[in-house]
Parts: sequence; C-alpha cells; structure tokens
Amino acid sequence: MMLHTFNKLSVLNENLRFVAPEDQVLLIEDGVYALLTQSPAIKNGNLFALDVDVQARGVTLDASCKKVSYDEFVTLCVEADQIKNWF
Amino acid sequence: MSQILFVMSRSPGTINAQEGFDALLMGSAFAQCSVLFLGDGLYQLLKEQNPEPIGSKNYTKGFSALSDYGVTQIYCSESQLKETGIKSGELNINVELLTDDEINQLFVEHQSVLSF
Repeated sequence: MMLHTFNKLSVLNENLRFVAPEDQVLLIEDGVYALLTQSPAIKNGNLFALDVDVQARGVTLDASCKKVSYDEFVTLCVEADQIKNWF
Repeated sequence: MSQILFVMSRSPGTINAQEGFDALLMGSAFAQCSVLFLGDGLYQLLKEQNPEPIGSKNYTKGFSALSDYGVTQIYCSESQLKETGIKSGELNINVELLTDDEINQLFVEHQSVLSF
C-alpha cells in the first residue's frame, strides 16, 4: 500500500491515474481544494486531508475524507510501504 | 544494492529538471537507478532542443550517456505521452512506455522514489 500526497488540484488531476484503488491519498496545502470539486479522488476510500491546511483555507470536509494532524501524517508515512509526494 | 527511482515531472527549462539529471548521474555511482518521465517532464525527451538562444544549456544531450552510467531502465507514461502529442520518432532516447498500473507498480518495486 502506497501513500500519495498532493499539494495542488492540478497535480492531483494529472496524476490520480497512477494511484491504485487500495492506496492512500493525502491532500495537503492547496490540494485540499479538491474537496470542493467532484474530483474522482473524493471517491477513493482512503482519502485524508491535513487538518491545519483544511482549516486555513476554510474548506468543508464531508464524511468520505478523514482529517489528520501532523502527528497522524507522520504515522501514515511510517505505515505506508512507499510514499510518493506529488508536487 | 539499493534501488532508486528518479521521477522527472518538470519541463526542461526548469532548475528541477537539470538538478534531477545531475542527481541521477550522481546516484548511479552508488545505487541501481531507474528513471521515469511524467507530465511536463516528458518534454525533456524531445530530440531537437536548442535552448542556447534563451540562455540555457542543452543538458538533455547528456541523456544518451545514461547507459554508460548503468542507467538502462528508462520509462515514461504511455497515456501522458499521448496527451502531449509527442511522437515516438521525436524522442532523444529509447524509453519504455508504461501503463498507469505499471507505473504504480514501479513505485512499489523501488526502495526509494525521488521526485524532480
């Protein structure tokens, strides 16, 4: 299982094709704006967003996305077999 | 031997692209390295580049030396290459075209992934 982080909506849209269904997706920085869209990323069962970045941008989370703290971000990284930071 | 995947996803005019190439050459001295071109990084593969008039060096000429450095696993995204409109005859080196699923698998198979 891989962890993919995305920091922009454009980067997410271009590279979501390389994410396997069982992989985890973590939205950080401006990547959290994907939550406002109908991005296919929203349908990924393992979708996370960095809490402080969500709060900073005033984005509302729905139930399909789990909020994570910085500590939980670290936990996700440690538990993943591989990490790809898309930026 | 450690295995490193270098992912190039910036256009050739950027510092990321050139630094990525330098890092790849350096890395190849210490580890088994593969390289994957994605997104705007695919434009690095165009054969006829002459950026001297705009004040930059054509570092992509160095790609042909990759095999001398032991870098023989050179990949790119088939679906994204199609989107760029680049034809296979316009490429400066031999690259293996991978499907989206194969690229996901490539990440999993490597110990480290470095993105440029």
